[in-house]
Amino acid sequence: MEKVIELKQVWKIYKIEEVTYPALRGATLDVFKGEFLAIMGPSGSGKSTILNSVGALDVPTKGEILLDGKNIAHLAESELAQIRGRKIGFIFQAFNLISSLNALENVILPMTFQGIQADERIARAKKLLELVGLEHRMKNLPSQLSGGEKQRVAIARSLSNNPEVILADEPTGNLDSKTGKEILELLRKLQKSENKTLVMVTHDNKIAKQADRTAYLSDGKVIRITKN
Amino acid sequence: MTNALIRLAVGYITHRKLRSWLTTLGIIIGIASIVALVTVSEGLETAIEEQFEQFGVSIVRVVPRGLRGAPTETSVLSQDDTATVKKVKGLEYVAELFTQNGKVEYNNKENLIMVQSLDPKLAKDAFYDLNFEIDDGRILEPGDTSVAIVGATLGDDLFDKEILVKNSIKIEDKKFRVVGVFKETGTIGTDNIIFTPIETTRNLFNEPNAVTIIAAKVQEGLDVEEIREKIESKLKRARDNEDFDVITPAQIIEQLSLILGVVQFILIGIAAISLVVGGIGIMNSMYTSVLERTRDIGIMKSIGAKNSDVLMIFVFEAGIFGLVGGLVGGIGGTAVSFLIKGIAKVFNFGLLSISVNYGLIVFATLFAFAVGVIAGLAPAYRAAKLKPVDALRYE
Repeated sequence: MEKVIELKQVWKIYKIEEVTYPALRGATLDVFKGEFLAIMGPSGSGKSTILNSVGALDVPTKGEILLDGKNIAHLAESELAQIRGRKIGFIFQAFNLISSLNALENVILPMTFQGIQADERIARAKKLLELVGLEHRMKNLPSQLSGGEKQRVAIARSLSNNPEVILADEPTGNLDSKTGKEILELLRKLQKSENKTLVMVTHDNKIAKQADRTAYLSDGKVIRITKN
Repeated sequence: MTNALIRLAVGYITHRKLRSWLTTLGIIIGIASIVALVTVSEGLETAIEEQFEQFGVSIVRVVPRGLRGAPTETSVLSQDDTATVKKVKGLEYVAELFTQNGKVEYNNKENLIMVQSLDPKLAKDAFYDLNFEIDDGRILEPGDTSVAIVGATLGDDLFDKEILVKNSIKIEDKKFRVVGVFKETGTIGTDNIIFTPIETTRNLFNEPNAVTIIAAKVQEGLDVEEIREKIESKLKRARDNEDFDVITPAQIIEQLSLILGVVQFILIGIAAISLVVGGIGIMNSMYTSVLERTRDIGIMKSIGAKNSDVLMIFVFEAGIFGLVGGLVGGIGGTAVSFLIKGIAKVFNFGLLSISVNYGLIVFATLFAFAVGVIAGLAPAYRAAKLKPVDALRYE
């Protein structure tokens, strides 16, 4: 199978004032094209750090991160921004929508940063919002949406630039179990229909069981990978 | 910069209305004061120029040194100087003016007033050249002695009763018959004037040889400045000193403009300080807003915003403060100028001509936009440089 992401001996050492704290200590992991990979581990094991490194939100201290065969570990900020905009779609636990923009505008925004034409942006954003079942909420501000609806907007937003990889950091963590289940189903469905690679950080075993594979993290290292 | 990012910036501004208005107010006040000052001083300059053009551009005046405009000191000129000036070629006439503060009585009231006097033979030409027009009665005529011509509002302004032709006034206890009243001009100086025949007045003040100002009219088509120099050198030789000035209206306008320019420069400098304060206000507001939106910045970066995108959003936002402040300030400053004109009119200075200076408003708006952009640069740079992960973690 084709590898989309390869992490080779990735270290991330945070320095907070005088205290250094290694969040990743030589993590190695391969992600295959089109798969659903869950990342599990106790808190502080480096789950989010690994996701942020893959998503070009954070640069590792040491090691290589290959995205489509290209090392992104030490790129300049402007190149990282391009990768985030074009190749990665982020979904966060706290939804992270821009509160002053309505649902449609939130979905449009990533395309704006990529310089896509206005009419094309709007058409695509509308289509994506229909896809997540929010055609009736397009003009609503995030404050007027429920948690599940917010996460649906975030999912639509993550797909706006048609990225290869969707990175989800505990996407159901802020939702009740019923809504969480719906969101997960939606993500699974879209991952398959849009043929995306989905990497999801979770601490929920039930969710991890739905993934193709699960990587277990401990003390900043991948200690075990299981196939479901 | 696409219009979506502009909308984002505008959205942020309208999201916190009160703070945005307060921030803009700083710029409004700064720009309004500058625009008002420029507009009013331009009006003032126009008024001064118009006044001096009325004074006759081709008239050269000889005045004692240190005495320009309204004479107040005892004259150091004499009829000998008049004779010297008359020797210069190219003059239509040479008029002596004798001016003295005198006790004037009318309607049982007494005032100390500047009495101006000249040779009645020259009154016709001189009044014409100085733009004094008669409203009622006549001007001074050859042979006149104890007669006077008064400004239009002299009576009302100083004696609580209008002075009409055939009324009598007393100057230094001597009776003068009013033979003419000037047309109202709008300036207190000329509307409260008294003109009398020179010989009578000299005798009255016991100064038979005194001359306050010599006014010489240059013949048409001749160079006023050249003749001014000739008069000056002739007088220097004849008097063997330099304690006099030979001036033309052009010079006076120039000097007044210079003084006005300095005053304008200082006032606008002070107003500029308030604009700087306004700029600091924008900067302060932008730093706050960067802090408040740290998380939004993280979100934007996580979905592909480049540093330059973030920079543009914040710089543009600061620029909008400047632009709106500049436009409102420009219009407000013009309105204030018209208000000042109205007040000036109430205080009898009706000459101030205020007009809408569109160029100035446009310039002020663009300038304020630039001030906003500059004030926004540092906060925007801070926003742009935020690390995505740190920004996202910010609560």
